[in-house]
Order: sequence, then C-alpha cells, then structure tokens
Amino acid sequence: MRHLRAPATAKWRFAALAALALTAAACGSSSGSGSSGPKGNLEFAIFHSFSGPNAAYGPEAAAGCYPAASVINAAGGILGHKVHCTPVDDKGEPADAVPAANRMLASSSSLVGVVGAGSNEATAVVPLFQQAQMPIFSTTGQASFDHTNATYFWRILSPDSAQGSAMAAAAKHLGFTRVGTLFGNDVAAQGSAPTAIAGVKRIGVNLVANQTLAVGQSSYRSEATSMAGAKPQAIISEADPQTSATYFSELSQVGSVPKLITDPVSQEPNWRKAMSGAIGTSFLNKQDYAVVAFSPPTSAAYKVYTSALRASAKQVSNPMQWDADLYSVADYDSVVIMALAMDAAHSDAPAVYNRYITKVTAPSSGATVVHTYAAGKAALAKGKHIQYVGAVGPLHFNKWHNAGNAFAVERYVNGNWKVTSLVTAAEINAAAGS
Amino acid sequence: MSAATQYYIATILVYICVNVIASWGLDLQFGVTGVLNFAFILFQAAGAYTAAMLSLGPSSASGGFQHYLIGVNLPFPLPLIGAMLVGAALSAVIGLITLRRLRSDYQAMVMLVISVVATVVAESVIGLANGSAGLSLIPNPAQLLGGFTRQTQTWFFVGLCVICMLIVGVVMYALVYSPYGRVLRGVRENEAAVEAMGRSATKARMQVFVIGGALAALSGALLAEFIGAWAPSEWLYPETFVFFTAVIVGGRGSVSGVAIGAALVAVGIQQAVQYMPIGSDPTLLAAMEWIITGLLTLIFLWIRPQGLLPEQRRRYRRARQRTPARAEVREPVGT
Amino acid sequence: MAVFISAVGFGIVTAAILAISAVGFTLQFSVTNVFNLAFGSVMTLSGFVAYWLNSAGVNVWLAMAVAAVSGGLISLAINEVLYTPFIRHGLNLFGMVIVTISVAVIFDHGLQAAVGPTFFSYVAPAGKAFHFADFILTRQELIIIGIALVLTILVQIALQYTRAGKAMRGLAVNASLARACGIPTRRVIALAWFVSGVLAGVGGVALFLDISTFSATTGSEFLIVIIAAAVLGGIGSPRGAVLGALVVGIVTEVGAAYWNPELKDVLAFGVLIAVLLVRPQGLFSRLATERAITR
Repeated sequence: MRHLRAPATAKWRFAALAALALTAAACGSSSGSGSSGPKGNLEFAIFHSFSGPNAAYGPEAAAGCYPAASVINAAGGILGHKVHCTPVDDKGEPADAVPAANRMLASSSSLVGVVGAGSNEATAVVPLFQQAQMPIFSTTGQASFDHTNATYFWRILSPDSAQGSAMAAAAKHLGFTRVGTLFGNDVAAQGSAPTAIAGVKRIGVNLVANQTLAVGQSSYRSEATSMAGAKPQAIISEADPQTSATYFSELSQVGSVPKLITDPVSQEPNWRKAMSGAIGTSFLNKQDYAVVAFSPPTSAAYKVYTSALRASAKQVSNPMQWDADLYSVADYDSVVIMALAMDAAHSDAPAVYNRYITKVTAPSSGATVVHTYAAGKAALAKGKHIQYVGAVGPLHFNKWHNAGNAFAVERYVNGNWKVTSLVTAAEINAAAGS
Repeated sequence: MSAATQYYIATILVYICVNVIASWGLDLQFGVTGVLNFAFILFQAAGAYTAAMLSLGPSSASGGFQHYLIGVNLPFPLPLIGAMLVGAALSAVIGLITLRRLRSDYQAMVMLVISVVATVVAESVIGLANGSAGLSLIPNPAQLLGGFTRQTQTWFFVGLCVICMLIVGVVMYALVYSPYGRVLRGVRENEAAVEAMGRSATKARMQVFVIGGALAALSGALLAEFIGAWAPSEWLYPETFVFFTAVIVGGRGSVSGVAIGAALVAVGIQQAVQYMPIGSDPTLLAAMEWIITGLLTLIFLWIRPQGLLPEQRRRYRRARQRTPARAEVREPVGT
Repeated sequence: MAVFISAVGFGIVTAAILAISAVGFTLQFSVTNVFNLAFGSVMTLSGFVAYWLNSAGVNVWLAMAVAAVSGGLISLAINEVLYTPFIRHGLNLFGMVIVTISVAVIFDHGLQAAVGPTFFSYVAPAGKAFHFADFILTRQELIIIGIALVLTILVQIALQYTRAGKAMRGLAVNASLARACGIPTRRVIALAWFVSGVLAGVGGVALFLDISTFSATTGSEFLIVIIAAAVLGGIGSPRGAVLGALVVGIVTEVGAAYWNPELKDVLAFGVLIAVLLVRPQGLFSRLATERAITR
C-alpha cells in the first residue's frame, strides 16, 4: 500500500536554461556588490520546494518573506534600497536543489540573503551558500546542523532533537502517565522521534506504544488497533498530512483518538485540513496540544507580522491560512534580522553584514529592545545597540548559529492559537537528559 | 567570469555528462535491445549510495548523525569502480529474477514494483543508508586535491565527468556498432531469428541489463560525489520516465542521438516553460515541465518515432534484392 | 489469535478496495493488452468529480455512482482519442506503455496545477461501528466491501454468461479468431475501456474514502499496489485480481500486526516476486508469454 509520492522533477531538466541564464549571468556579477552601486532593489530568495511531495513548503516560506519585504519597504527600505522576494523552486531534493542554488547564485546580482532549504536538501545546499558567502536562514531540523561550522548558516527554530525532547516533556507537564508515540518514517518526523521516545522513557512516563509508520499507506488499521489496545492517554505524534489523516481516521474507527501532543507541523494549514477531514475540526481542536516555539500571538512583533501578512494577498494566496504557521513566522523574522544586520553594518554586502546578525539579536545591557524593522532601523540610526525580539520571541544565536526557542503548549480555541502553558527549560532538560 | 557563474556552468556540464552516461545505459537496454527497465533509476541510486559508503568513512566518524553500511574511505577511483560493480551485481540479481522466465509485459510491471520496494526499504531500514534523510557530506574526489582553489577543484571534477563520458561513449560505439550490437538489435526486432542463429536472447538481455546497470551506477556515483548528498527522494520511480523521454527524443539505438537527446530535452523543455505566458508561479512551472515532457514523448512517438538522430540501419543490398520483404524495409515504430 | 483475526479482517477491507480497481485494470488488459499506467489518473479524476459533487452537498454514495460513469467516459475517451490512434500508428506493447505513462504524467500534473498541492476529503461519516468476533468494521467499510463483492461478482457473471462478456473473453484468448467469427472487435474493446473506467471510478472513490484525504496524484501513487495485485493473480484474470488483492491486503495487515509495520509492503511485494518465481504467469493466468496488442 505504498503511497508513491508525487513525482519529483527530474534533476537534470534544469540543465535547461543553460544558454539563457548563462547569458544573463555573464552580464551580471555575483552578489555582494556592497552599498556603493546604484540604489537598485535588494533581493531575498525564498529557496524552497514549490513542487513535489513538499510543495507546500515554498508558499509557507513565501508567507514569511513577502510580509517582511513589505514592512521593510514601508520603513523606507534598507540603506535606501527597496527589497523584494524571489521564489526559487529547489524541488525538495538535493539533486535538484544543488543546480537550482548554483543557478540562483550565478544569475542574481542583487541577491543578499536566503530563507529556506528544508531537511531534504539543506545538507546539500548549505555548503554552496557557505562557499558563495550568502547567509541562509533555514528551517531544517536536522541534527547535522546542531554544531555546524558553516558561518553563513542560521537557524532560528530549535532542531528536531530539541523538539522531540520538548514533546516528551510536555507529556509529563500536561499530567499524562501513559503515552504512545507515533512518527512517520519521513525525514522531518524521524528527526524528532528518537529524542521524543528516549525522553518519555527518561522522565518516567509510561511508554505504552511506540510506532513508526511507512508514510502514505492505504491502511494503518493493524497499527491503529495495537495503539488502541495499548490505551494511551495521549499520543506524541508527527507525520505528514495524508499519513496522519489516514491513521487517525482509522484509529477513531477501531477505538478512539486520545489527546494528541504535536509539533509545529500541526499548525500547518495542509495538516489541519487533512486531519479535519479525517476526524472533524472540533474534535481535532479538542484533542490537539501543539508543542511549539513560545511566540505569544499578542506580541508586538507578531501583530506587525499578521497585519503585513493580511496585506500581502497580492503575493500570497489566501494569506491568513499561514498566520499561525511557525515556519512562516520564522522566515518573516529571518528577513527582518538580515535587514537590520545590513543597517547595523552599513552594508548590504553579505560577507559584511553576516557578522552583524548576532549583534542585532543578542541580549545585552544597554541594547534597545525592538520588535519591528522600523523601530530597529530608527534606533540604529541614532547609533544605539539593538536587540530584535521577533514574532517567534527572543533569538539568542549560539556559536553554531542556532538560536533555539522556548517551548510552549498551544491550543486552538475560537479560531486562534492560544498559549496555554510554557514548557520550562528544566522540564526539557530532564527529558533530554542534559 | 564570476565564481558563481563558473559553478553554474560547471554544474550544467556535470549534469549533462551524468545524464548522457545514464541515458546511454538505458539506451543499451531499451533502445538497442528492447528491454523495458522501469527500475532504471534504482541502479543509479545503487551507484550513488555505494560511492558514498566507500568514501565517507565509518559512520561514527562524521558526528554519528547518519548511519549506513560499510563506511570505508577508499581513494579515488575505487568508489566509482565499486559503484559500477555493485550496479552490475544488483542488475544481475534482478535480471535473474525477472528476465529469465517472466513474460516481457510482466517484466515491465515487476520492475516498477521492484523500484518501489527498493525505495521503501531504503527509507525504512535506517542502518542501510540513513533512511529517508539519506547520506550527506559525501566527499568529492576533486576536493581532496591540495593546493588548488575550490574553483579549480570543481573544474577538475568537470574534467573527470567528461572523461568518464568519453570513455563510456567509446564503449557504447564499440558495443552498438559491432556484430554483438547486431545480436542485440536482433533480440529487439526478432527474437526467434536470433535464437535460430544459435544466440541466446535471454543471455543477451542479461548482458545489456548488467552493462546498463553499471553505467547507471557510474552516473549515480558521479552525481552523488558532485552534490555531496543522496536520499530516497532523488530516485522515486517516475524519474525513470525522463530517461525514456531522452532516449525516445534522441533516437533509440543511436549513440550520438541519445547523447543529444539527454542534453537537449532538458534545454528544450525548460526554454519552452520559460517562454510560456504562464507567469512565474514555481508550482505551475514545475507542473508544466512534467506536462511538456509527457507531450514531447507523445509527439515524438507520433511524428518522429525514430528520434532526432535515428539509428543507422545498415542494409545489405544483395540480401535485400533477394528478399524484398516489406518488413525489412519498413521503419519499425515503437519498440 | 485475536490480533490475527482482526488483521485478516482489516486485510479484507484493504482487499475490497484494491479488488475493485485491480479487476478494472486486469479486465481491460486481458481484452486489449494495453498496459495502462494512466489507470491511476482515471481514478483520481473520477475521485475529483465525486469530490466536487460531494462538496456541493450530494451524498457520497450517489457521487460515487456519478464518478463511476464519468470514469467510464474518461477511460473511453482516452482510448478513442489517444490510444487507438497510436495503436493504429503501429506502436507495439512497449511503445504503448510509454504512451500511457505520458498520459498519466500529463493528467496528474495538469490536475495538480489546477487544484494545487493540497489535500481534499469527502464529507462522509464513517457511520456506526459493528463488532464481528475480534474486529470492528464501520458502516462505510461494510458498504465498500459490499460494493466490491457485487461488482466483482457482476463482472464474473457478465463475462461468463452475457454476449458482450463472451465476446471479451473471445478477444482475450484470440483476437484475430474472434474477429473472424464476426465479433465486432472495436465495440468490444470500447466496452472494455468503459467498464475498466467505471471500476476505476468506484475504486478511486472507495480508496479516497478509506484513506480519508487525497490529492491530485493519489490515484497514481496507489497504482503500483493495484498492479501488484493484478499481476499476482495473473494479469487478465478478474478472479485472479480478486485473489491477488486478498493476498496483498491480508499479507500487509498481518505483516503490520506481527512484524515491522514499516516493511509491510516489502512483505507483500516479496510474496508477489516469490509467486512469480514459482509460477511466472501468476496464479490464474494460463499464458506464459505476452501477446501483441489487440487491434
């Protein structure tokens, strides 16, 4: 019952553009011309998959980039330049992503920063961006970037391993004593599965079932039956939309769906759409506890983001579907941070401003805390140090350029995500064994 | 020329070489001999994984975030040779299962199934090749050359790919336009006649299956070393279809035609997509690439089934005078 | 034992869904010898017809009936507009496989461009759950099993006793002899494509109901399993397809219950390959060699 995912586009088709793009590339120069040239547009690339099995990742990242560009332009642009976002399809696999990255780097002379690269392709393309000295803010969760030496790599959200520990910690935090774990065998889910399972065992919660699903099967009835037989009070789960929908609809037939402890995937519109179809919207909202980055929807930065998102209907179709999507929010913050770093560096040259990224986000005494690009730009103009606290909360990058977020439990109530409690660092450390 | 432009051109050249080599492998099977290998992409994958495992070193060395079999660090060109051997061996095993007893339409279906099973196994058995995350940080042999800039190293790798392609091209010419090649074409056109001449059609099929598998593996190995990563998402079974399009468009059985097909299909399709007034929505553009690939295949099968550069069909004048059978003169359509 | 019985029960549900499509796939192949890889696209297109009706408020079972008819018409149209001209053009069995893949690629990606890379669900309550011994089936699953039983038996009876059915079997055994006996080959072939499309339509909607969400490529994604069931039973044999579906369905569910659920497919496909090694023509087929396309 294999679900053969949508055909990914042939890696070599890109060879395409050859003549065309080469001409274009030969005429341009590589990025990083500095602020000396004419005041043209600066470009941020949304380098993500817009086709294939993960075709929703691209639009998700676009829902972060476009609103960021509009708030930056509304504040007068960066160093006098207007900015814009360019979607680039990396097709969600290394063999297509590598040429796509090389083509983008070669053909765009105004490119100053990149958001994107998911877990499937990040390890293949990050070295290319490093080589080209082009900052990339990635939402990959892979452990290989926990201690990366790539100085142009930046990661706002916690890696999958931390996400797994946080979900385990949340299970105890929420008072469950019997939990099951359910993960797909895809890249994303397998990142958080090991730490979630180890975490549950470590904190003394009874792990009654531990299942890994081959994604996209037509039936999980036997798996669901054994889960139902184990009678968990809650299931810690991450799987793609279709697999989750099939599994939980079958679980609801052979038993009942207990509480769900999920991760940011459960805030993605495709996942909610599929799961709502499977077990009903109101029941889903009643059962679901999303363990996500603590980013209170009431924060100043988040309000600016949502209003810019709402106004971006021209570039983002049905924009408000993304308003609670953590990855969109993180990409919004990424672009704003890069913009502020350029202001602080007085340069849009990536090799120069890259060093300023930690400086505009690190907490320090005397730094002016800002929540918007406009406020940050103004403070920098006055010669102040700033700390940007974004829509995903405070961002303190460590020496491997990983920020790592605080975790909170959110529930969907009356059409909005509400933070119901915080998962403390102590709780997560207990689950992670550190 | 800027560094980025150089990388871009290098990437294009590497991809052209890789795809020409792979398309030749498929051409030998499908174009020349008429074996319908719908699991073709699997052999490219096998080569890529093998080259990775033979050059990555032990899995604990790279920080322990990926798990895989073997894990040794062999010097160039042993990983490439190892990849070809594994590709050939895997082809032999699968060929033994499918080619000997199954009717040819079953062969095609079973190949599809095998391609899918292999993906499931690769994704599920983490210890094999790190599951669906795949392998990363695969070393590029050119980057081990000390004393050169990264750019120069990249051009060394391009040179390596071109040399590999040229060698494979020479081998292809030698195979296809030889008495042995005539046996292969005989298997495609008239199996009974080949058997009547005392040659085993099954044996010939097995042989091209193994050689084609080795070529696919070589292409995969080069590709994996170039991009530095390899994962199950690279080799989902529909990818095989694109190689078929390249062979059909280039000209089945024609070595130079298939080379042109592999390099050109790409350019043609993307150009068409870029010039179509459908906007810049990347999702739509990707769909259009597939739709145009499909349409191009249909159009070529209808209008020019022999491809851009048709296979040279040698005719023997005297023999033809004696037997002016219609079947011999007619261009066969659809292999 | 309870686990085993429930796994077998679930296997039957899976088998019922697969069998509808597998019978459609194999019936058409037996008559025409076209290995139609666009079958999955017909499933998806009909599934979307049902979706549009269903979201306009039509009951899902009624929508399934409409999807069946439209599946038949789509299948017929593909044959008349594309396949028949290509066959007349001289393409052989393998050439036609490439044609059908091309059609599948065009349809799937065209549909994806139209509806977007997202998921769809029918509005259909699973209904009351019934307990049988150690396993539980919902009303929806029982209806699907019923539909599968009725359709496969109908196909079998029609092949055995009706004029058209006999003509199809005649074509399947020896097309030129059948034509010589005065069987209107073209009309019988058209009928085979239509019936195959109807079964694709029903099979598609049943599958999409069962997995509860679907996208523009779901039909093609599951086609390989359907083909595996058909080949296992012996392609061209509707009875074989039903048996193949049962084997695949039960083996995967039992495999999931007792072994590694991640590898349940490998088990099912392994059974297929083992069967073919012992009996290369599949369980029910009598033909050990392929045949030319019926013209």
